[in-house]
Amino acid sequence: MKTLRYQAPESSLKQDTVVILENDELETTFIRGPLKGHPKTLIIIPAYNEEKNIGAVLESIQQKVPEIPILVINDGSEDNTESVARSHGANVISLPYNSGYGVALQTGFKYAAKKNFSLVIQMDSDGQHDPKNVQELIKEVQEDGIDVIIGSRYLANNSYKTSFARYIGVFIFGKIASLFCGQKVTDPTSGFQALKGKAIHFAASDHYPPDYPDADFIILMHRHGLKVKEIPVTMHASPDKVSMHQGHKTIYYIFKMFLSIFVTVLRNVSKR
Amino acid sequence: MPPRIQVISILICIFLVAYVFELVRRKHLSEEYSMGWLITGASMLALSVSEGLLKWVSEIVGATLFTSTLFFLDYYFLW
Repeated sequence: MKTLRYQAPESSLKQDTVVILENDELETTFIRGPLKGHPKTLIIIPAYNEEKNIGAVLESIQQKVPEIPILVINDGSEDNTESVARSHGANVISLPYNSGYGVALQTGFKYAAKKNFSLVIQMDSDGQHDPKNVQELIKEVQEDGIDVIIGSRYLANNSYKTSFARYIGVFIFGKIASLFCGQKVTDPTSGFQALKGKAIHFAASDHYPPDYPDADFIILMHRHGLKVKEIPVTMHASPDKVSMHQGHKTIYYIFKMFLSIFVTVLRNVSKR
Repeated sequence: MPPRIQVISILICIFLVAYVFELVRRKHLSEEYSMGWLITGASMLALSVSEGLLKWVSEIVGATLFTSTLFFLDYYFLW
């Protein structure tokens, strides 16, 4: 994966600004720090044109878990996502152009790995994920032998309605992931996850799928010896009801996921 | 289509599809850019295997030689 290099103009540099410099050094000062005795935790939120939703999402997170710093990865938004996120107290990395969900997420993981965060929560910026589940994710991922916790909408009684096409996709890729992982995977497309330790460094490595890290990445983590577990979480319908798996992208997504899973199981692995 | 040409065409298509898979597996080619190659290779393989299908497509595109239809797919992909 390409290393993103972005030099902001001198005039725009502020104390809480995250800048990716030519030498890949990231500099930041968080407004809130982690509580003493707690694992060094970071919430990462990839966002693309989410000025309408990101403010409410950040407020909701800050109400539920005010002690955890938030990093928004602004994926080349054309609206005011960056300024709205900053005004709500989040730290922001702004990518110079729209690079896709996977690249934006991995930017957060690279940052977390570089800054030695021991626990990372990834959430979506559209308000689908309920911050009340963050503490449960943190608690579960800290169990011995667990590296990744995936919040599954299908293990909980949600009011969330899944489209038929998405349900079929989730069903098929969930079955495939379950087959290769030797455990039940009900929600391979969930972006509500907690990762700790080696899983963070693994997500920051070149193994990470650059566009849609879903079932293929779950299988990849399993093959590399990382332990994945699902827990039930509350998910709400997206306010805009626009999925990144819509239109012609659906065809590409299905093709890419089958191909990615196929080559993933054929690749040599080195377990930790 | 002469049997010898058909066999050579099938072998080339199988090699193309297998080679693209191998490039993706070795991470020399991303999944995104493999899509066009794999669809073209699979389509050419289907036309090479099924003479009836090749004849039908040849009539649609107005090709008098069946091999021209296979090349047509190549040109379409390169375009």
